[in-house]
Amino acid sequence: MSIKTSEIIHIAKLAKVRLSPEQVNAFTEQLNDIVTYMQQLNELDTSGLPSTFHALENTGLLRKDEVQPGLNIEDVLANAPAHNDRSFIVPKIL
Amino acid sequence: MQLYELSLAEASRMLQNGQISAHELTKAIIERQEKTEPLLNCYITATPEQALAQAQAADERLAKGQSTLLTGVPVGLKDSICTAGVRTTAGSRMLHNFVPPYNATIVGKLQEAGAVFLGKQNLDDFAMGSTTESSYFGASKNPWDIKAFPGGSSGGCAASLAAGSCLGAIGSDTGGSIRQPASHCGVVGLKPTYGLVSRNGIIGFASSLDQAGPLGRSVEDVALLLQHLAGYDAKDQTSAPYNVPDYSQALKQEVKGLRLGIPEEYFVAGMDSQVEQNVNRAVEVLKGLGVQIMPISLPHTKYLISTYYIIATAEASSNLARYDGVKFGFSPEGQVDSLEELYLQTRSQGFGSEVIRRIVLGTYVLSSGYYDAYYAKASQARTLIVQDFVNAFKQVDAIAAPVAPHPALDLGCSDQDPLKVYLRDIFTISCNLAGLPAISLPAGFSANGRPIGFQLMAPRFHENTLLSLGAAFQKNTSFHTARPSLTSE
Repeated sequence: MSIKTSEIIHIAKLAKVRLSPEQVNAFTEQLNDIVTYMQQLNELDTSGLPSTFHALENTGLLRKDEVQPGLNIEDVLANAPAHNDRSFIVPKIL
Repeated sequence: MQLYELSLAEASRMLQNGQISAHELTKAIIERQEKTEPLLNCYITATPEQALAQAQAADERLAKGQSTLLTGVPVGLKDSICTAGVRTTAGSRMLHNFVPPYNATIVGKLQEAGAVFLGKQNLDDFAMGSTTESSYFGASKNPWDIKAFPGGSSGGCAASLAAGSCLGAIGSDTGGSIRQPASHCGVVGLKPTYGLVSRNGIIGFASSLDQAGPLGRSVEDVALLLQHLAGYDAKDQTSAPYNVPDYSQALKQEVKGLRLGIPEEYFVAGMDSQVEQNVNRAVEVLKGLGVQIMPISLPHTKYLISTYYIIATAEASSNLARYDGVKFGFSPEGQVDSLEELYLQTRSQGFGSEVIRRIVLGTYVLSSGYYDAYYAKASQARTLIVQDFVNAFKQVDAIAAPVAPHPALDLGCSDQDPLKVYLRDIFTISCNLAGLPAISLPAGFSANGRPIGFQLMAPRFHENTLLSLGAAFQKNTSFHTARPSLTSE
């Protein structure tokens, strides 16, 4: 097996998801199958080949830096589980 | 003929010449929706009152002669498309209570054109799936056989169209999510060129692959919808500054002499023989119209699944990092003592298991020590896949292919092995990786009556070619006019 259970636990920590012991076992097995399959890409000689991150060349276009109307603060805060009149409220950090 | 059996273009003509009112049409579709929903579960949120109010406004516009061809036409929206004031869930518990404060750009465009919105249609959890079975709101069913899945992720859109609980729908396609359910439900689905239709306000899955597009009963329907969806949007950094042509002209275009490529790598062992027969028959129809059929090669086809699932999961893991339980969406019950704990509880309880699997896989391929072997390698393999198409389109104007390797399977029988499920996407993901437009067209039925589609692909911004070929095909076939008889009727 190329991915160990301990790695799945580490990756889950990076991704901020908590996995049950059953999920850890299932994911270890499934991701091993998937990643083993994906190693077929090693057959390809890609040395010196450019990467494609976007299907179009002209991405990242910027508009002029002009003030435009944004969203209403009350409407935006209405979706937050906890907020006061201007801010989101989160559990104590420090 | 019942009003719910009309194509969108037929309904539009009847509205324009006053044969029916938008109110009458909308009411008929809402009645159809009420009748079919208990059986099919195509909608997560239906908005009949809003639809009737919009229909009334549409009738006023029609009376004043200020209408567009979409004025008064009732359509559905995939529930990953943000609608101001109407809950938008992405099929996920994570957004089960999210009411967007703004409209997606394309919703605004359709609204301006006078379209009537029937509600928000079902999809797999964050569009990650090909059956709707991962939806937090339960699977949709296929109107042709309610034992079968409708395909996905835009399964609610396709099933609703087939059943007549909408006359057109807007879906999104990251790896086949418009085309594959269209194929399984016997309707037309068009995935536009990346950048042609704004992604602003469409809940992101994999940003370099996602593209919104129309589903309809005929090629004419999707052309009409595309006309109103396409166009540059300053709110989408990947939107293409492109002059949108008049797509209705493409429907009349002669197809004789066009060159259609058949990729040898797509017709291999493992495909259902019925799919192969139907696709071959569809190609024969086009050949009969003077289209020149040519064998071509897309040599990197065997690397598609690996490349796609590395890139799509990597982008998903970073896109979905925003779901933190702070700003909107699901948040755990009760007192949570730390921010870390809030993140963990929100994400573990809010995402379904397929979404978590893809986030973990995406995080793995991006993580230090593995980035070069997986993500960097896949990004280079993507270049080779793009190059395959560049080379092919030097020889041909379009490419014909299957959509899915088999007709719709029974609900609940999907393989528990995720790799096997991913392998089913082989025929659709290439166009997302290369940013190409592709259309799925009804091409027949399996022995047990389940629809089978076939696919046409074209170079970037050559939607016209797809519409010309599709319209010519539909003039000479009647698969798209068949309607399912729901068993409860």
